[in-house]
Amino acid sequence: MIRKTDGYRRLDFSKIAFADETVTMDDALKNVPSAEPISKIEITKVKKDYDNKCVKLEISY
Amino acid sequence: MCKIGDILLIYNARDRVSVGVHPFVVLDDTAGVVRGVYGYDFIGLLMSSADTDTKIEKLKQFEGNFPISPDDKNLGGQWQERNKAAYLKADQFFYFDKNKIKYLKIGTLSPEIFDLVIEFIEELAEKGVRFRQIIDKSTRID
Repeated sequence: MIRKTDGYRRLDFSKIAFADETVTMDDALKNVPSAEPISKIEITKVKKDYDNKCVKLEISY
Repeated sequence: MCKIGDILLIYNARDRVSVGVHPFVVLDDTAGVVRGVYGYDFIGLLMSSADTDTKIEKLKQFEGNFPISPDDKNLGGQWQERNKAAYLKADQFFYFDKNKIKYLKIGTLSPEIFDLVIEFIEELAEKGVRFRQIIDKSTRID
């Protein structure tokens, strides 16, 4: 019997046979390009500022 | 949200660092547990864009890939401008817990095409294809 929800047919999972091992999301997606660019911030320079008690970072993004 | 037939952009991350944004179609929105270990509340099919001849040639070689044309999708607002042909990886089921991911609904797949995807999956099953289950380790039930 075909089951539908809001016009969408539901898969009968009892008909499906699965592989013995599961796969992690990381492994499955590692070679799949992103649909949007990934913004990465990279630290290119680190300078200690003793007078102001801080560390100054130079970044590229 | 995350209803059967929805098209979602899912923001995948590892150790809180983005590893990419990937579009999925919600195959099923019934909660369950994979092999008694990984909880989920929907299953998605990964959609790969096929916007160049090279990509189309590569994607159509895979038995489990199902072609989707731009007209098969109903995308909202800005997403319609970026609507491209694509392939659904119909032999790989991705199991998600929507409370553990970031996602955005960008549209729906037409019910007629969704029916064809289900028929395609059933044909693969009849041919003896063994489907891959893709799990998110953070959904492990302790």
